[in-house]
Amino acid sequence: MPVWLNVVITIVGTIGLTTLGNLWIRSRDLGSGRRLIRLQHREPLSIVLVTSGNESGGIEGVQYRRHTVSLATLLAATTIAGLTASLGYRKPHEIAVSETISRAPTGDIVLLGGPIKNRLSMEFIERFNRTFPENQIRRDLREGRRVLQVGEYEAELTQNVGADGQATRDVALLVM
Amino acid sequence: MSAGFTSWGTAAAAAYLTDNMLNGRYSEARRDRLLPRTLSPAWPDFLAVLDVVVLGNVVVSVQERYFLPLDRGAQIPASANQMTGLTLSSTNEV
Repeated sequence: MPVWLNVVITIVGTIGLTTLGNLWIRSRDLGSGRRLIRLQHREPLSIVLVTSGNESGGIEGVQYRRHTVSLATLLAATTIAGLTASLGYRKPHEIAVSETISRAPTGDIVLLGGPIKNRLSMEFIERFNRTFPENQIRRDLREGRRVLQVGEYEAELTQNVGADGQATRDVALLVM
Repeated sequence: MSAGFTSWGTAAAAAYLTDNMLNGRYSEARRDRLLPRTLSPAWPDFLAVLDVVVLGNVVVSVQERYFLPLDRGAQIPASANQMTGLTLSSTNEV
């Protein structure tokens, strides 16, 4: 066999094996991710953002009133949207602020933000507590300390607040 | 998914999902038999409490403090609105 043919076969083989290896790794990661996220419904993925506040104003005689969300909540929403896209879900996203939702979404849903300002999160936690009575999620105020309790586990909420009044330590809850 | 009591806690929980759960923690939980090999279509299957440190509007660390596999036989009733998916939450909504 001529040397040039050996070289060609080696190059093509290397590229082919590398491509196959990458495809295998990609499909394995996709499969694992989709098994974890497991979106099921055909409807768009609903991402419900916590309503951080309300704002009203006016421009040239036109009055408006709108709900606002924080930058970090938007960051979380884009992270989730990017995640579903990277896992190959070809479904649109419906992004809504909790205060503006008139009817509950019927498909897959992502709730961002805790129960105080996101009423769907509140509803979710109530349902969770009814379904898992031994592992209820509760927020309590004890001797001036705010506590998150999950079953028998407890965590103090916002243990530190910086000089600017911003929380520097927080507790997050992920349920899926 | 439900996440975040403060908004930065929410952002941290979303990042934890993509950076940690998908890159090792989920496999580890299955390997340790905390989670079944295949999660059921019904949900939720687990709950995690995360400790989040924020400095100047940047999340500098997220650590899992508590992981609780949930009873596979139980299921959030889906009749009203079929809440299917994920919940991310943290404590001080700001």
